[in-house]
Amino acid sequence: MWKSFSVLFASILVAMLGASQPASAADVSLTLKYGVLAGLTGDPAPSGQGWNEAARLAVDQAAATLKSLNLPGISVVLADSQDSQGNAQAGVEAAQKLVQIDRVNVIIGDFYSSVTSAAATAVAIPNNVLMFTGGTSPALTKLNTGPTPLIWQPVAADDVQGRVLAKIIADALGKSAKINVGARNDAYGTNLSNVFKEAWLAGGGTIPKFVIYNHQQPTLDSEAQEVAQGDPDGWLFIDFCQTFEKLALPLTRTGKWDPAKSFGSDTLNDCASRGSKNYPGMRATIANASSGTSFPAFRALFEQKAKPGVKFQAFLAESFDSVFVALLAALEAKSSDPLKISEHVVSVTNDPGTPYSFEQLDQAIKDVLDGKKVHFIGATGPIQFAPTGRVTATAYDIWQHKPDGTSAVVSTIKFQP
Amino acid sequence: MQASLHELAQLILNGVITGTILALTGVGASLVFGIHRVANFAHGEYLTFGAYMGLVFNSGLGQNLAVSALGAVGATALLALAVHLLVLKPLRGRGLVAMSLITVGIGLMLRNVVFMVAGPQIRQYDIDQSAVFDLALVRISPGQAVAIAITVVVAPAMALFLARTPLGKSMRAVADNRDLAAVSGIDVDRIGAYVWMLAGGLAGLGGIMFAAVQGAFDPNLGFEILFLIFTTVVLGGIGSAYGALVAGLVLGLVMELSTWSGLAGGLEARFKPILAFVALIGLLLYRPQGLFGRARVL
Repeated sequence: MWKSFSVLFASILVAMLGASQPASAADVSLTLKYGVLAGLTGDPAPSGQGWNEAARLAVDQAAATLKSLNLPGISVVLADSQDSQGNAQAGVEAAQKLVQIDRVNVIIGDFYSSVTSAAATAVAIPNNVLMFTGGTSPALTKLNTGPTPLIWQPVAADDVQGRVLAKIIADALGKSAKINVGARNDAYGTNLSNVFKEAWLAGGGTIPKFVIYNHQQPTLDSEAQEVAQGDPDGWLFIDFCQTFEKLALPLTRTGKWDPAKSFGSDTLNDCASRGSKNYPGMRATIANASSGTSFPAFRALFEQKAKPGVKFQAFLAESFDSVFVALLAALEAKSSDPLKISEHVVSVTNDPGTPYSFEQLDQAIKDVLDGKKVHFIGATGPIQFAPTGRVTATAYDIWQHKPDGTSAVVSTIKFQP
Repeated sequence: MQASLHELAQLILNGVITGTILALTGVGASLVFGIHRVANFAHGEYLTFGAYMGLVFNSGLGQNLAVSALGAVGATALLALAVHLLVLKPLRGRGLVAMSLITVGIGLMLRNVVFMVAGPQIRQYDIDQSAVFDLALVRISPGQAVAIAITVVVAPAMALFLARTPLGKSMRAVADNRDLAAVSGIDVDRIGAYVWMLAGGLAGLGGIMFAAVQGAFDPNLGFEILFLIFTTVVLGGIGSAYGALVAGLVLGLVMELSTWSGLAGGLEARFKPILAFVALIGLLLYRPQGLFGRARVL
């Protein structure tokens, strides 16, 4: 009797001790399945292929680290990469494949806001799947209506970018300058141009011509003519490189356009790297995606291991970082359930916590499994996700197209929204 | 006033160029429909193919744009003939909807082949895209100048070919009434093959013109213009070659001139394509057969 009681007491004691201890590797068993959603063909392909490669490299890195730590119960898999073609309808179909057939927990992408919005509404949110988007529309995180966000935006949204553009143009050309705006006719172009318009007019500037154009028009000659009119002090263009080229050539023909007085949105920072062309003197701003101390290491890894022919771009760090954020959050949640992971995203990307980058992923994983708090510092920078799904770190790089056809960061500004 | 005149002249020039491309490509699509009863949704991809064949001759083989255009026309004509002989002819008689859907598939396939072979990046012909000829009222690029030169030669030649040559008359006869043409001794199968070659050749020419005018192009080139080509065909009267020629020019001019600031401030540029379809709907309400079509054709 006494012996049985002793055994029972010892068992209860062991169980209680176990419960009060931090999670150990043996306690955590999960398989985290990622899917990539990006435009792998068509216009977005030069960026989409890179986005996919960055995610693949991160998953490979995570898998290798887990293996080196001898954690057989924990695995990460890149289940599939689906082509959205940069198109909302194709994006929804692609996301459905990822969720319903591949059963992914986390979708990395899309970097088009229009695709993310459609795929999130139709697929990710109804199925409780996490999405880490590269889209910059402020409307994306507003899709998060549940108690925990499912849509995470690892880059500052356009409502911030519009005001940043107004600031840098005011700094360069004066607050009361006349700025003509040319923007593509989609959610990205119209939203960002409207944010800029509001900020610019509020600051005392004027906009003689505000041209929203259909980028899929056969030719954009009349649009270029209109954008060049009104004797402006400068221009702002919101478009993607492939279609901007269609506008830029007729703009050049007007004889009135000066690229050195032109500014572009984040997508126009370096068109040469996207298979298009740069216009010497033109400037563009982009949320700083390279301020992380590990950015050079990410770049080196990409250039070494990415598929040949896929060009490196700074914004790919968003895709790369998202994989690690999801993994660390899953480990902290001890679950691959997207809703549980979501509850831990803020925790692993903010202070307090020991700062780790992907270069110290092994130590970060150990700490999380030991119940210690970590702050993952991405290649993009400190990330610092807010509970709304947005990042709170808002530094912006100003890029300028160079006479030799390349483009480079000429300065970085901190912006307080 | 002077600025407005400049703007108007430039818009007319732009409209004529766009209109000519629509007209020439529309003629082929219209004749194909008239003769084969196929709404060829791969027609846009023939333009793309032509533009890329032009690139092969121009940038790859170092030929000038005129030689490249001839090469592109020939290659696209052969492509159209091959698709006709290998796919569409064996499937003839499956009905308008089935045949048209097959062309959708052919178009998708062609576009993706171009994507795979040429890549998604934008391309340019080996001509100085930044050069401009300042002709007092208008400024034109070398690409536009080439397009105008082609227009001046090809559009009247096309009209003459259809009006005066036996082959052109036979094509119009078959498009007008296939059975009547057959009993009149016209070899409709042979004419059908020639029409595919003509449509392909004109599409190839349209593709190279379009690419030269745009200055830069990618594999989406033809897809972007496909619906405007069909608008041209319907506006001109399905099956009517002359109708397509006129409708293309009208459409190009109407779309461009609608943005003229002298016209009550002008329409916003983004509404140009909508205007094309509004014009189409408006016309069809009052003249269902299109500008030059006969009621019985529909």
